[in-house]
Amino acid sequence: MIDVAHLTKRRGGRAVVDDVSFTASPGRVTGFLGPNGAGKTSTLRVLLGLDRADGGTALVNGVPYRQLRHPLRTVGALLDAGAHPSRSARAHLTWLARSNGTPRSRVAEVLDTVGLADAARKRIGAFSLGMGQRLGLAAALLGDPEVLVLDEPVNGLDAEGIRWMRSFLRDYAAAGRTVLLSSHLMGEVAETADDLVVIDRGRIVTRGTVAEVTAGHSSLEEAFFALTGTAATPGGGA
Amino acid sequence: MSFRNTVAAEFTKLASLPSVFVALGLVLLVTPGVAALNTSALRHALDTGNTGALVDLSTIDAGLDGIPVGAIGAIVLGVTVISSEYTATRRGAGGGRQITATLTGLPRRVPLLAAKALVLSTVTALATAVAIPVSVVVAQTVLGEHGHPLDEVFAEVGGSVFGGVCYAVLTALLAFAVTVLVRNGIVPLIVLIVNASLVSFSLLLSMVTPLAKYLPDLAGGQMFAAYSPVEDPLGPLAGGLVMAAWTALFLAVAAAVFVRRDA
Amino acid sequence: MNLSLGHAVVAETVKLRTLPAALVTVAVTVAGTAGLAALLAVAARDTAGAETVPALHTALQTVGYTQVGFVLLGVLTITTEYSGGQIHASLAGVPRRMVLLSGKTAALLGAALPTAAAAVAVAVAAVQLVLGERAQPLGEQFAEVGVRPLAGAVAYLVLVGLFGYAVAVPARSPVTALVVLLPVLLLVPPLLDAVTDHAEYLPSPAGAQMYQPGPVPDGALGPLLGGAVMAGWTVAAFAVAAAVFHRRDA
Repeated sequence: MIDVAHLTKRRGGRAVVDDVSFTASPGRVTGFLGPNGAGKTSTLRVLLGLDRADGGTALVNGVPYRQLRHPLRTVGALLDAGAHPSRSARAHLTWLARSNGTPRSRVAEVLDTVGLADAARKRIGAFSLGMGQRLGLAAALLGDPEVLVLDEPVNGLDAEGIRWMRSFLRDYAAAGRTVLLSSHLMGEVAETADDLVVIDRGRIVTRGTVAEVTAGHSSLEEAFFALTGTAATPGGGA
Repeated sequence: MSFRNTVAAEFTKLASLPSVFVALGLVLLVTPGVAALNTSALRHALDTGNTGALVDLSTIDAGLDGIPVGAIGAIVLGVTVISSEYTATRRGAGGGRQITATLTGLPRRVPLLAAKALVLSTVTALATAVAIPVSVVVAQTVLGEHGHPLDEVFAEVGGSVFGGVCYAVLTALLAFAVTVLVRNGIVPLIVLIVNASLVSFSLLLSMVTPLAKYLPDLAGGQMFAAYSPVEDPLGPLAGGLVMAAWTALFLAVAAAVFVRRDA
Repeated sequence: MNLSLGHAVVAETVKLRTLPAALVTVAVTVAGTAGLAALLAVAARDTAGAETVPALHTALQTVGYTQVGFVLLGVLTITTEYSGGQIHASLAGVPRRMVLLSGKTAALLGAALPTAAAAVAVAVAAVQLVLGERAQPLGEQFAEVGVRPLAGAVAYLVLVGLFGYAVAVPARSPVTALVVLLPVLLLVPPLLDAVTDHAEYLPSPAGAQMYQPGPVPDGALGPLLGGAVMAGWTVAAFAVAAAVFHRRDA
């Protein structure tokens, strides 16, 4: 359960996140949509305790992230897949596992889950974009968390990887867990998410089930452009 | 125990970073290497009786000269422990930095810094606790007939060996604290290496003001060096305490900034 | 001039000039030199007693410290290419690697030369200012030592920057480069000097001959030969850098 209430984050005097409120519920995949620079990543960084809020709260299971005793056992996060380039994938996951008292056997399990078992000993610096993304997902799954927070998870994945990710996230939510997924890929979100939160220029423009948000529009894409008033632009997340 | 997990994670991180082994190699090779070089100059001077160029002719504490130069390894270690968190994951596609993973795993920042400092201190202490006694033995071997029996030597310089270990640990922690503050290893690396050389900023200040003896390196050097470039030096205990106070101050400021800062 | 080389030089100059770290390095180097010169002048005044102080000698003592700024400038010129993957864009624009390396060299030279001249000038000015009437008249000093040591100081600073750049090309990381360069320039020469007479052929003591004021002592390399030895080290470092950069995957 993720509960964001009246969250505000300023950078250089400008509110990049402005009074944002939404929830992501167990058993559902919540899509977090918005154009570049809308404030998606800024919101997630505050939610994960990386950046400080200037106002409002962002809670996981009712507490701020920084107060979670073993955060990786509660929340799995894929943000920018940060890792030191000269370590191996296995070494990276090993220290991360130890940081939360997770059994080391999980390292091999999650490497297998994301399809990196063969690259376990390879230097992370030599990874492709897609492999780095898989490593980030492996790190998120390490603590077998009840909440998943993923920022642009299909970035760099091939078609087969995207399809795998979609069914993986659906199964994860179906098991009663919470999935929050930010993306700029409308088609992807439409096929994966149950609920939608649309953000533009730091403010929530709409939220509800996929059916509610797309009502009156021919597709999610149409609804998105009508709601955000932006022209179609290619590119990654905010 | 959550703090134990944090320490375990930080230790695993350190042990899987190649540059850490380079830094440890620097400590273990450079400290005795410099001791051997300096001592062979001393031996040559004693053999020929031409001792004019040397400031310190004492043979019993030969071998301690390598400590400040060997401390460069400790500086690299202190810098690497934190600057590696901010290194870009991929050279090509921009991408993330390890600090994101670290802080999502360990969101409580003060225990995180404390664990890093603990691991850094332990590793530095272990490495110098080997390197400095080895340097003393190497120096006595090089001295040959000018040398002393080893039991006599260690009875005399045992305190300085311990002081040298403390100096290296405090130096590593200072480098660590400054790197936390500026999120970049270049500044502490330059300041601390330059200060270990003849064009040391601290030495320059000591020519201008007697207060320079309270600078961390000049004060801390008292823990192992018989000779001091400053007038009226502080002595080993007071010098060590002054350096420890500087280190504590920098660590406290670094922690205060790190807790408030966006990752 | 080769047209593509000309473009590369212009591009690299823009790159260096728009790099905040390079600008900060230049500013701190010049300002720091002034501060150090003032400190050295105070120290020289305190030890000189009633005598007038030869200000040029004191000003030239700053070179030992100031060189660190030039080493850093040289190191940053290449290592910033690798911190964010900019090297891919650079090589896409200028695929001929020797052209890219030469363009960077020229840009560095263009930045280091005025910075070195400014650093030496502010050092002399700061020392004169602190000493005031206690300084030996400048004309008298120049009559004694000539302008050669000052020109030599500028040459030394530029050369040490180029040396730092060349060593940093294979190293790629600024930390690695500095961990090699600073000990080689600052720590190794006095250590080896204690055990061998050949230590004067190391880059920094050889180059220092260029800015030593006064007559050349017996057996010393002297300014010309010393400068040549340092230039030789720099050329050797460039040869290694070029060979590595030419073969390496970006």
